Amino acid sequence: MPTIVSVDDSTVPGEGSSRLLLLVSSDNKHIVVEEDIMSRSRFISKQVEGFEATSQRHAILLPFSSFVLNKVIEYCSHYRGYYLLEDDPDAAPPGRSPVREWDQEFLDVDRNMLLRIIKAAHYLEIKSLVGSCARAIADMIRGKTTEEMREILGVENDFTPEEEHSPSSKCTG
Amino acid sequence: MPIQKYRYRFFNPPITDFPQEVLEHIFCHLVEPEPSELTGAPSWIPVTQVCRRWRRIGYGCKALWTTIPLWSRPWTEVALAHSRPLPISLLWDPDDDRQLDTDTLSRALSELPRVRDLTLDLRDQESDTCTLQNLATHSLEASPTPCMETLTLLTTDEFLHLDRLPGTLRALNVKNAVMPLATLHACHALRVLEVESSELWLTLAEMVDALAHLPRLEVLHIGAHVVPHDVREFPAGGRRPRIPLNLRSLQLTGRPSELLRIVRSLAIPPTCSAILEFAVGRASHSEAIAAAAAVEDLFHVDAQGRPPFDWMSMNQSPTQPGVTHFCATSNALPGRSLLMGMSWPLGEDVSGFALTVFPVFRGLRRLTVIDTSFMTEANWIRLSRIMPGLDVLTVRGDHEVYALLSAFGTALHHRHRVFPYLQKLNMPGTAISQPRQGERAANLAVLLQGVRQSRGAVRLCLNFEDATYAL
Repeated sequence: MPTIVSVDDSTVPGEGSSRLLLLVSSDNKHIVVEEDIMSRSRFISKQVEGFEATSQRHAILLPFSSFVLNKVIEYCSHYRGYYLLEDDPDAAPPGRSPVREWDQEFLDVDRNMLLRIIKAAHYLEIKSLVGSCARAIADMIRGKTTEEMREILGVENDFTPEEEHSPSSKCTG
Repeated sequence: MPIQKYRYRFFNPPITDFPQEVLEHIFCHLVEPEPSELTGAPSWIPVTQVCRRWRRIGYGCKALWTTIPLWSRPWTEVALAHSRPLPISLLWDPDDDRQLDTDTLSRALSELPRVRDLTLDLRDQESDTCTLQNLATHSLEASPTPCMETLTLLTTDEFLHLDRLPGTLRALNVKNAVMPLATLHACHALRVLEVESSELWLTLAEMVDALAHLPRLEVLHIGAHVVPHDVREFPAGGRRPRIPLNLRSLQLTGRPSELLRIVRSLAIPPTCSAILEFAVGRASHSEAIAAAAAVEDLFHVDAQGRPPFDWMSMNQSPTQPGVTHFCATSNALPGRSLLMGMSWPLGEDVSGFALTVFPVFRGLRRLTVIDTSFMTEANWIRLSRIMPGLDVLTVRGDHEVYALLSAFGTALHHRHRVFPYLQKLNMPGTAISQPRQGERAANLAVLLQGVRQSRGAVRLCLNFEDATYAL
C-alpha cells in the first residue's frame, strides 16, 4: 500500500501545461517532477487518478532513496513521450529485442545500484525499465557457475548437501 | 513506525527479497539457443542450483520450460514433464554440427497435440536425414495439432511431401518440401507464408487461387531456382487478380522472365512492398543480359523522363561468397517501394558482363554500398563509368571497420577521377560496430588525414551511433 501525505498547494505548483508531482524519497528528499515524465509508471498513474477522484493534492512517499529515485526519473525523462512496447499494457509481451544503447549506458552502474533500480522500477511498475535491468543482471551472471552467481549477487547457499546434489539438480543429464 | 520499517527492509541486501516475477524476468533473459558448453544443459539451469528459493522459482517458471530445444533425450524428457500441460515450442535449429537423434525427435513429436511452434532445421544432419524428415511429416499427418501456430521445416530432401497442415497455422516456413494446394487451402489463419524450393510447383494461376483462400496473409515469400514454364499472364484487358489486401510484403525469387510476368499479371496492393530477386547468379551470360533488358522494359516507363532507378544499394550475399546483391527503388512506381534484387558475381572475370548489364543504372543519383570488402579499386572505377551522375555515396560495413576505411580511402583517392560530381560522401555509423576507444581514435585520425589530403569540397559525416562528427 503506498504511503500518501497531504501537502498544501504552495508546495506543488500544479497549474502548468504538465502538472507537477511531489515525490518523497526514503531519505526524506522532496523531488518535484512533471506528471508527464512519470506517466510511464503505472503506479504513479494510478496514484494520480486517485488524486483526481478525491480532488486533493498529495505527495507520494516512495520506499527508496533519492539517489535511486533520481535515476528512475532520469530514465523516465529520457523516454518522455516515447512509445515503448514493453510499457503498453495492451500490447503482447515483446520477445527478445536488442538492448537499447542508451539503456546500456544508463545501467552501467555498480551491482547494488542496479539491483535497487530494478526493485524501484518494479515497485513503480515501469516494465521497460524492469526489462532492461533484468537483462543487465542476466548479463552479469551469464555463463557463470552457481558459486560465482552466489558471489556476484550475494545469495546464501541454503541447500542441505542432499538437496544440492539431488537428482533434480542434474536434470539435464 | 510502519513506514520506517518498510523503508529499512527495502535497504536489506536487495536480491534476497526480490519479487518472484522479477527473478523470473532475469532467468528468462538467460535462455540461449545453445546449451552450456560445460554441462550440455540449458544455460539458465545453474540458477536453479543457487538456493532453495531460486530453485523453486526456476522450476515453477513455465516460460523457461515451454521452449524446448531438442538437445538430448534426457533434457527433452525433463522439459516436457515440467511444461505439462502448457503449449510448447519445439526447436531444432543448430548452428554447429550438432546432430538430432530420432529417439529424441520421436519423443518430442509424441506431444504434438500441445505443440504451438515447431521449428526443425534438418538440413545439416549427416545421417538419418531421411528418417528424421519422414518422422516429422508422418507425425504431422497422424497426430492432431489443435494449437500449432508456427511450422518451420527446412530440409534438403526435394521429395519431402506435406500432405496435411494444421488449420490453426499462422506462420509457415518450408524449404524443399512439396505441398498440394489443397494443403494450403486449409490454413485460413495463415499470416506468413515462406516457401523456398529448388523447384516452384505452383503455376501463377495456382498461386493466385491459393492466395484467395488466405485472406489474412501479410507476408508471402516464394523462392525457387526453377520456375515452371506454365507461368502465364492473365488475358490483357481482363481484370487482374488481386492478392490479399492485408499483404504487406511480397518477395519472389526465380528466373527473371517468369517473375516479371507474374508481377505484370498481379494487382499488387499499393501498401505492399515487393521484392523481386532475379536469380541470375549462376545463370548464363545471355540470360543475365535478357534479364537486364526485361528490367529496363518493365521499369523504364517514366513520363517525366527520369531515369528508371533513383537509388540502389549493393552488398555481398551473406550466404553466397562472391555474389553481389543489387536492390534499387524504381522511379516508375512512385509511392510504393518496389525493390529489385539481382545476384551475380562481380569481379575481374565478369567485368564485361557487369558493364553490359549495368546501364540500367546509368541515371543513378544515389548509391549505397554495404559491406565493402568486395569494392576493389577496379570496381570503383567501373562503377564510376556506369554512374557518372552519382552525387550521394553512402558506405556501410557491418563489422569490418578496416575494410570500410579501406573502401572509404579508395573512394577519396579517386574522388576527382572517379566521381567528378560527387557532392556528399556519407559514411553512416552503423558501419562501425563499437570499436574500442583507442581504435576509434586511430581510425578517425586516418580518416581526417585522408579528408585533408583530398582538397575537395567533400561533406563528410561520421556517425558513430553515440556521437556525430561533421566536417
